Amino acid sequence: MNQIKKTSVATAVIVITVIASYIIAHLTGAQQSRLYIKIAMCTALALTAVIASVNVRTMTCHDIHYYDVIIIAIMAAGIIMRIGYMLYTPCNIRQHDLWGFDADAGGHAAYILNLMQYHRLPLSNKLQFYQQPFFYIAGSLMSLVVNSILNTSSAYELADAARTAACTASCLMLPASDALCRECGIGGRGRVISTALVACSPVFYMTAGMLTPDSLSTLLMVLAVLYTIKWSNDCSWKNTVLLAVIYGLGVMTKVSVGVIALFTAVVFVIRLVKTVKTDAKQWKMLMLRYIVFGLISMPLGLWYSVRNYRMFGQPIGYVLDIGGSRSKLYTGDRSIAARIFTFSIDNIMKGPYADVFNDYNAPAYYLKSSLFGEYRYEVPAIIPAVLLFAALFITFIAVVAVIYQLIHLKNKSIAYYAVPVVSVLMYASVTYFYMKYPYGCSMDYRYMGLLSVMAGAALGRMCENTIEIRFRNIVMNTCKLNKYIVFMLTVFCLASVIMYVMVQ
Amino acid sequence: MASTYYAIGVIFVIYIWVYFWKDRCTSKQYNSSDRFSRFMWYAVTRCAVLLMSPGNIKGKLICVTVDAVVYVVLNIAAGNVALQYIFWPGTIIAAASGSIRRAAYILAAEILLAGYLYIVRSVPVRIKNGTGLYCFSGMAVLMFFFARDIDGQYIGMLADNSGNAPMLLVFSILLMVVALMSVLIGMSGNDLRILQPQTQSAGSGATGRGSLDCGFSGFKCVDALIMITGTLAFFIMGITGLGTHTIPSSQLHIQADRNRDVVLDFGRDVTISKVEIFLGYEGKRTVSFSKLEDDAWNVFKSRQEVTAAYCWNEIKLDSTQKVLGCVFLDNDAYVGEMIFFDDKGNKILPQNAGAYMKLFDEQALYPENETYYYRTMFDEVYHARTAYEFANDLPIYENTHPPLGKTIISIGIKMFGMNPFGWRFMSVVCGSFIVTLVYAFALRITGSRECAVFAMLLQMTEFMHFTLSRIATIDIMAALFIIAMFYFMTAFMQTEKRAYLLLDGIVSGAAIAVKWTGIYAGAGLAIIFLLWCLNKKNTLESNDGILNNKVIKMNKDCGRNAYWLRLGAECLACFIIIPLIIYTLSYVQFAQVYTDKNAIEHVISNGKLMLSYHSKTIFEHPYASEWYEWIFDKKSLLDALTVNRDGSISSVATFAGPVVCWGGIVAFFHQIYRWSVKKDRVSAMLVIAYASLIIPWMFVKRTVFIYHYLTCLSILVLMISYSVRTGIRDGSKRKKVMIVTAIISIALFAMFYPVLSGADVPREYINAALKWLPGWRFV
Repeated sequence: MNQIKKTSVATAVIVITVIASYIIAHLTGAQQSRLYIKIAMCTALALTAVIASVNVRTMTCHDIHYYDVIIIAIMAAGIIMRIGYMLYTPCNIRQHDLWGFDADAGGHAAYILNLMQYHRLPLSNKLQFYQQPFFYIAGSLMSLVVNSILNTSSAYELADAARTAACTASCLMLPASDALCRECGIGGRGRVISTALVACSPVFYMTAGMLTPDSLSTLLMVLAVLYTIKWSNDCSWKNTVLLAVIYGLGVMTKVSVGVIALFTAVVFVIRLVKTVKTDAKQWKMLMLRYIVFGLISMPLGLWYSVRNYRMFGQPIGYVLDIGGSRSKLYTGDRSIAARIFTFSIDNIMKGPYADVFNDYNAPAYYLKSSLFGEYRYEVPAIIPAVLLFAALFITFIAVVAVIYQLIHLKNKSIAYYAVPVVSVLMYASVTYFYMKYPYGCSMDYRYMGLLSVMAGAALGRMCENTIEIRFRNIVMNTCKLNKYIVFMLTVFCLASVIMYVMVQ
Repeated sequence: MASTYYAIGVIFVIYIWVYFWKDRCTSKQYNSSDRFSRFMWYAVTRCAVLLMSPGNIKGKLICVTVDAVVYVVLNIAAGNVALQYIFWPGTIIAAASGSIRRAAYILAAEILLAGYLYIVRSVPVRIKNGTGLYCFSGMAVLMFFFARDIDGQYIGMLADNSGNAPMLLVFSILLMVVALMSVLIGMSGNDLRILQPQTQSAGSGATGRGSLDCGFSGFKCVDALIMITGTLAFFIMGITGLGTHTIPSSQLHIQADRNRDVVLDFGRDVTISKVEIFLGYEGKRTVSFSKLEDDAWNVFKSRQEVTAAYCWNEIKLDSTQKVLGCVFLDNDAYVGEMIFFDDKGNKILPQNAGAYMKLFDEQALYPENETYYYRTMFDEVYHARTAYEFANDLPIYENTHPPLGKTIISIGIKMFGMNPFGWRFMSVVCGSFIVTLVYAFALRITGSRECAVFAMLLQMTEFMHFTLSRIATIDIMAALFIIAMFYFMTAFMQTEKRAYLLLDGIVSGAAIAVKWTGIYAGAGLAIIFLLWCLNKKNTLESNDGILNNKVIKMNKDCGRNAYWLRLGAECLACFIIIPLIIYTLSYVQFAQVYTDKNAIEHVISNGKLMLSYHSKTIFEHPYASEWYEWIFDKKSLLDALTVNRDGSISSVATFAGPVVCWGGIVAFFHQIYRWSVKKDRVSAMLVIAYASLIIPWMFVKRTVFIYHYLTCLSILVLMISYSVRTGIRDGSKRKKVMIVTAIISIALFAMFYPVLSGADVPREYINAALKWLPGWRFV
């Protein structure tokens, strides 16, 4: 089976699984009782573990499918957690800017209702209506399918079912991130690390259950990086068109996906320079590909922005202002150093949960919101604390890995430098955004889920390669460190799963 | 109590750093300390924490006894492991806890740990898995007890689901799990190998190791030029915007029988919103205000206290009257000026102002904004006022510190008058001399002019040094003399010229006569000197060892004894007698003002008073901070803050500059490493100097502030300079590092200049650019 078929099958399986789970939960009435869903989640997780153990039992790490089995099992666990979270979290709980189930309410639900009830895009750009439309279109389509089968049509149900699009995107992130690792040349062990981190990162559970474009935009960012690397290896028409479509859809989902275009642009320039140097005749063909890329991606990505600009004078890259210094979320009265350039240990020690109204230190908030969003949960304190501790450790090591890889970029391929460069680009981008819009909610990690994927890849590469760190006359390889990473990652995954099974 | 835990943590980290790193570098296994030094470490750690932590003595004694027994057994059975026992936080906490049950638990755990370490050290296989267990478990135990004892967290909170997680407790438990995991991880393979054992013997190297001769060949003309330039530059920076030359000078002397009642007739009914009173000599006055209604005096503001001397003190009145009565309730008061404001904020003058000319003759001197420039700030209300008393032979108000500092401040007052510029002038002079001294010191220890210039630039742009050089308090003078103490001692050790000993004695006396913190430095100086003597003794003996002729040897012995006797006598004179004389002489002013006692009697009585005062001065203060907070520059001290009429801010804050403070931490560890591994005596001197200035504060129970860290910062500047000199061997790379660091330091100084100098600046700038840490308060 070739790669396209594999990808199509995997995607179809995931889409069908998400939709089927949603429909079954509704038809059986399980969605009314969280307990049933949680029992189902635990059973599915246990089954996955058993099946994986049985399969792995007879293999050794030298077996070509050894790591694949583990990776598929971890992916399955990740998908179970995402679907489970979406099912036991109602549409009006732990959401952002939902603002009522009315087509005029101006929130994300209203956007969906405009599409589903009136078959049109919003007629104004007020509140959340300025957002790019692709997620809402995809959500409406999936909601249409689900509600047709369930034969329901209330505003709540229409909006609720649209979350299946977010959940699907979040689930697809798992094979996408694994494909990225493969493309970056990371071997089996590293891919396991990476997949485990992505599968058990709570931010992806939460975005799977939200009616926001975040999970879809993250997926498209991952695909953009993946296909940029693919394109750098093989700049065929197929890859060019695919990359253009991904960018088009990405920007049509969220303008911030365009940040990755900086990386792609660098790759394009490198390719052009190399081509001009080695094969001067080919550069015209390459330029033609760039033009086609632009002709596909730009109209696809920016048509809604242009429409809004023409209809409402909305600037490109417009972000809803929430009141400046009058807002309770405003953090601009704190220094830039305190907000961005320091890591607040005090904040970490204060408690595991982020406080959107009072916190202002971005690195600490990123970490906390990647685990718990901006919410507090009624679970025994030890679980979130352990999760935070493990995440802190993993983050520290991931940052070290990214910096190490960034320092050792010389003479490396694009597949090597994609991870550290995109990581830095993404972090710089979200930090700049927070500088520009100094509000508590600007620090929410759901905007930067790509960082988790990149962190997974960086950790994976670090664990895959036994790097020799030399300091004076001492040589230390990362073998021992790997064991600590695996241990902490296991703690992280277990704590994450337990936490989000226990959440009310 | 928290400081005990911080101290234990610091001791543990330093131990890990020095010994583990050293052993890895030299491929030795914990045999680097003999029994005597182990015992010394044991005694020091236990005594330190026992003194620092409160609690019941009986319980502590039992715990210490048990601890001592375990230590002795370990020392006999497994000498090398005993060293780890000494520094493991658990054992120190157990010894200091006073709780026998807790001590028993921890000691049991420690014995298990020690047994395990002993076994793995003895087994000649590849597993070396004690390090992770030792380090992680040590930190875990420390965090656990900190969480329990200081943060009040307990195991039951782990099940709490209200969102208030005991984070530290959870972290400590997880760290313990990691510690246990490290055993398993370590057993599965050794991942550390030494490429080549370090062959360089202690006492060799490029600079400074084993001796204090660092290539310094005396001061040249160019050095003098650099010192003068740097000092002048700092002096100019210091006196720019230092303070006004003109404040209300004519004062109405109010006594019980004269001028006690001031009756002011405004000629018509006026609404007075507030009155600003500029207090002259002697602060803290009590005033009552009354108005004449139907030929009777009605008191409407009773017993209002104005406290700050040489400062505008505001009292809200909000009263309408034609005739206002002010009654000064103290028997003796000096009031410089009174300014009344109507309800629109305009100044109003009573019709009979001429009757109280001294109260109303300098109305124009009331500033638009009452910034630091026009008044006393922070402790100036004590020190400037007392300096004025010294200058005018008046009864002495401030007697909680020895008098020399105030005597020095009074020189400025005599030169420029009793105004902000006058009382701050000598601080700038002292601060400028510190810049000179730091250059000379750095040049002496590094032997490099570039490094000395680098140190001078860091010192010039050090925040706290700049701020305290512009405030009339005695800390800058104490810092000057203390740095001079270490400088002259270094000079003596390098050259063995007796003149330096004499100078050292003089500045030691001066330092103690300014502030008793000089005694702390004196203790450090004594240790440095003692180490030098021991080294000298060893050198002399090793030189004699090669002699075979008995007669020559005997003559040598006699000569050596004579040498030590002479040195002992000189030390007695320089470090005991001369400082005592200087200290006593500083009390001459007391003897002149209070003639009932002579100077020596004043020394004794004032000494008792100071001891009593400083042991009881415990109070809540928003800017108070602990010694360990100074190290990280956690909290600033706001000396002055004015919100100007246009909304801008003028504030003066005391806190350390990030480059010196944070960079100094790295340099400090580097110096410990050099002292311990490279046997570098310059590093030893710097570390001891720093330690002698900070360790005493661990035991001080009184309320303390970050300005006590001032002298340490100058030592850190020297450490940074010396670390750059010794740590980076490539000359061009070193130059680049110095240039970049100096540029950062200058840029940060420029950035923070408004809150160091009190220059007007928009509030937004302070909030957005300067508030790096939550404890840095500038507005």
